[in-house]
Amino acid sequence: MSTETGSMVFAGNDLGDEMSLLDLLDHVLDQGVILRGNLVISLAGVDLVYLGLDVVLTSVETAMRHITRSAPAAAKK
Amino acid sequence: MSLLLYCVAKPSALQDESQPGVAGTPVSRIEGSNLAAFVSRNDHHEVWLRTPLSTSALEFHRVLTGLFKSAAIIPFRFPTILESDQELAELLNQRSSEYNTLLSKFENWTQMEAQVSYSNPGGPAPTESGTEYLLERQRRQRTLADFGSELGSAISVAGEWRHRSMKSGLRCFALVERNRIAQFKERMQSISVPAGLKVRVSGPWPVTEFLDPN
Repeated sequence: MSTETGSMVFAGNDLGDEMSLLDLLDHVLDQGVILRGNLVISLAGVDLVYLGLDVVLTSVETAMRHITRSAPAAAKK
Repeated sequence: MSLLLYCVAKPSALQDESQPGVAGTPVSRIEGSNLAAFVSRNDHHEVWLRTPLSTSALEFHRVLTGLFKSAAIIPFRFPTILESDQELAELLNQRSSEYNTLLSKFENWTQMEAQVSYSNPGGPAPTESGTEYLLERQRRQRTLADFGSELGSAISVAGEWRHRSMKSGLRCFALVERNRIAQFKERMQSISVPAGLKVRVSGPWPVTEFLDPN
């Protein structure tokens, strides 16, 4: 029988040795209150807040590229 | 004029005036309905969504962290953008009772998090037969579930403990009083992690996972 054990690491809540960018982004983008119906984040008709982290990052950045190429008014709700 | 909403807190929350908001926009405090909302204003909300988005998200996080040092906050998910001060006033008015209840309830509490994942996220090592592979996968899942339960019962300093199953493992959340964070970490350190698992403990974070109205 193996006597090997798993590992445990501790991180704070700010970027440091053990805190990854992904930890922070996850908290900012995936934790916290969602205001249904009160958001103006429907860029390109996509309700970004309900999407997963990876999709949010991709969608916003794709949307922003689209916005910068289009008229500024296109970004308004 | 658009508003980027960071969080709400009790009016007694202290703000570091020198801390800029997302994209360098100043952070303003707007009070109403016995709440303080922290926002940035700009004519063009696109300024907060500039690429790379991760930069804006980190700036957002720094504002939350600064405020959370002095008081309980209810953070909003980035990016929560309102169209006007009037819209914010309506929000505070509508949710005043709920937010005040939550801020009182979690006044002295923080959220600690433990992410439990497999050391080898790719799955069990290849085996000679499919049956062996499935048995090994079952064993891994059982180890994870058992450890999740053990964590919850072992962490007596936590006011409440919840966990969610994720594709990568388990995500566990503990409500911990501000003055018991060190004790929580000590207790966690004393727990033996089973072979094949790794645990990443982070926090203190603002309470988000326990924001049920009741």
